Amino acid sequence: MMESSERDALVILQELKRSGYVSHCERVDTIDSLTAAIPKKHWDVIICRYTMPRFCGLAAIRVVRDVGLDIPVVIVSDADGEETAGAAIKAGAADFISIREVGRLGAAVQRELREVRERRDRRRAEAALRRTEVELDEMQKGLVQSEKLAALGRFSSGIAHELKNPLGIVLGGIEFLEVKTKRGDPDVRTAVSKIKEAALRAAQIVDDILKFAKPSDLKLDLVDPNELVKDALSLFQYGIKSREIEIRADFAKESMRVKVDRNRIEQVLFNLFANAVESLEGQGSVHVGVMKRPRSTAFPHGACVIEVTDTGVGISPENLRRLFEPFFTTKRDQQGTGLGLFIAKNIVSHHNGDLKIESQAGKGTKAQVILQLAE
Amino acid sequence: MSKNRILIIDDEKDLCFFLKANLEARGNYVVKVASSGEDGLYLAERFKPHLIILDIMMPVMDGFKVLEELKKNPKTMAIPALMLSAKHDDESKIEASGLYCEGYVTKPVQIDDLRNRIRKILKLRKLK
Repeated sequence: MMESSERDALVILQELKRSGYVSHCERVDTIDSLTAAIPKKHWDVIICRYTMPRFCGLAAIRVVRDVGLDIPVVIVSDADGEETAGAAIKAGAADFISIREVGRLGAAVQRELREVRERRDRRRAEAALRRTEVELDEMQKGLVQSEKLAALGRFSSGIAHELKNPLGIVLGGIEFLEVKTKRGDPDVRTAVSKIKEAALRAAQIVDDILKFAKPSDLKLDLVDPNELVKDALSLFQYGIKSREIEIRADFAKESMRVKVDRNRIEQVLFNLFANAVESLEGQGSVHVGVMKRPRSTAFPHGACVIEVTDTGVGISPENLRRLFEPFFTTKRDQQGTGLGLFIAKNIVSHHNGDLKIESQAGKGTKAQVILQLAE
Repeated sequence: MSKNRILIIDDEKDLCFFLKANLEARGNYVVKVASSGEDGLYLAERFKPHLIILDIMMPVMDGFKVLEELKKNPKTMAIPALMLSAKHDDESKIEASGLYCEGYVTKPVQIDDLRNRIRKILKLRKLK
């Protein structure tokens, strides 16, 4: 309460008590004491004299507004002129009561408290609505993104299928020419062999596009990630020619289960193993690790991390940024299509997992496949 | 040694031309071509091939229908069929295997791969 007159303060307090409202009241009569009192408690209402020797009601309204709190300020005044009341209401007063009509104060406070409650509830509801809107917006964006990907998948799948017949004719024609030019001009034979290489590469791209186009057809099984990595690794090691390359593996001691399409995840691991071995350029080591990771928001049942680390040439920061872009490759001369990691990321994402790659040029690369543990 | 007879049923005439030429040039085969399912069924009875290479996606009568008809007819039911298609999904493969075809290759196929598949199927057939 902001009131300079002891007598009037008592009258106001008695009226509030009569209406059953006051459990705690503090009286202040300067702007400093008002500013100091506001943060002390959660005030429901401020009753303020319109004019006081060192202060006025309109200034009190400004102080409350500047603090940013929703506390109704009810102005009490000696005068009951409409002009004064209008000025107070315009400044933001909740009500204007003449001291002669102090009997209205209880009803005014009751109404203000109800309105504050309603405003608070509305603000909460609006905040919840905004949060929901943001969530909906994000979900919609995700949906649009996945619809776009699905549409892109259907589109590329259509193109890939359409390309297969003409590619079949091209390849058939080249193989026909191979026979016909067997004893012919060596330059023609070289040309035919180069065309064949290009046709086979085009066929490989078409195959890769089809793999991207159908990532949602997953055949999920409960699999032990240790076994999965062991199998993929032993198959992969058959194909390694260089004896200079050492592949070490450490497996998780805990028992784990992941729900995955075995063939698809093996495809991802093969890709990562091949990248690691290629980056060694004939010499160095690759380490494969399987680890358990505790529960987190992204992985509420915990996660399994399959880590492939190499001591190879590494990836420059500018290439690292583009690593998951389709058709981005630094191995164009080695028949790279630039779809390997793009597809790998896509496959892992369809398992609600994540594929991360960190690298330092000249030092090596670490790739992590993170998969949700089964419930 | 007499040559094995192969019948290719595919509506892509250029593809058939090269498949026939390459198989005859690189293998001990006599190849005939049918560019529709109906022609294929007719030739299968007359030509009596040791193996049929059958495209799936064809207008009017698709490869599955042709295969069904081949297996219904006592004169052609024993001829092994190798499905050749641009379709890449498992569904086609499963559907094909449900109709008792001997194998499945996706386009574009390299002639050496195709020859190996044919050789294996014919070898198995002889053992039976």
